[in-house]
Amino acid sequence: MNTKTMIRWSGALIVALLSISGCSQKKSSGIGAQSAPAGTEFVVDNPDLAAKLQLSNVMQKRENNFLVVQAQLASLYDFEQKLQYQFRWFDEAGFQVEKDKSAWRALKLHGKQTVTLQSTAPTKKAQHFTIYVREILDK
Amino acid sequence: MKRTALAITLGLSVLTMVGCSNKVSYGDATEVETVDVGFGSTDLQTVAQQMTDDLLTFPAVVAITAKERPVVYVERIKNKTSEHIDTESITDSISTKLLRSGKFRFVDMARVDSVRQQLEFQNSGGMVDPATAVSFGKQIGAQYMLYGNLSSIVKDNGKQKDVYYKFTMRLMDLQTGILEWADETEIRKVEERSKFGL
Repeated sequence: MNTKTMIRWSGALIVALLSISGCSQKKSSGIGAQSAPAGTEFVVDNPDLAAKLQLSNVMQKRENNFLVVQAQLASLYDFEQKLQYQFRWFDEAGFQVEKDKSAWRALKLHGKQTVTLQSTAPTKKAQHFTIYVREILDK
Repeated sequence: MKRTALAITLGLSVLTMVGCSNKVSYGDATEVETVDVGFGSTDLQTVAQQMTDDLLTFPAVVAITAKERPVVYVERIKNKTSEHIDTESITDSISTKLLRSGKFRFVDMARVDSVRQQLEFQNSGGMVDPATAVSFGKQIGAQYMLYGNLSSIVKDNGKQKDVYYKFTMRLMDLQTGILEWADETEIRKVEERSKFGL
């Protein structure tokens, strides 16, 4: 084997190893919805995910003076999806309520399944909300 | 000889490039964690969130918190799983969320000894002005007790490990012994083992 062939083979090996070593990056952006003066605004940051998922029927009510929000999440895809979602809450002035305390929740969505996401605001101050859904990335 | 040296150098450089060498970085404390099937931060956050969400909007609880902020005592959650889980951390999260909601007040039984020590020092140590000393027998008794269980069912067939967690919580009226509220949260986690370790 001459040097040229060896370099060629090494190049191929590097590409192969890089592809299996998991150094590739996946999109961690997602889709969302937020309360707005004229109803609900939908946000699509990840068009690939928006082709597989649909967020709709965002509703809100007050229970015991706490804001309760519900949204429907439908899979437009035939296979299972591993997702996480988060609700965030804001007061009248737009300041985040209980900042850094809204945890992401895991969700397994089967092909074409529709689920309801629901959450209650942590305090009575919350007047506005955002919902965000993104994929769970295997690390 | 030269070829061997070249091959070794190339091999080493490849290994250095693909090794993704160890590095430390800060993560997001609230994101979903899927390192293994054991009880993790996401499970703790999910359980605490779901329990407080339900407790704050349950009709009977809405009725008892409408005019006053009831005083609650949190008993330790019994860990009936096969894992070592810090259940105090779960009750801490739940009681903190409930307290910050502005609907409940809590008494902390875990600190009774420290409180007694401090009151004894204030009242009989001779160092504190009696006019400013906090007196014994003035604390407010808890009206409700919050308690629960965490249990699990684990199945493992070598290829797949399935863990099911069930968290149950109840709120008891200490005067009457009546359960005013109860709720359950279920979590299922599955670990599939790949054949080639990739």
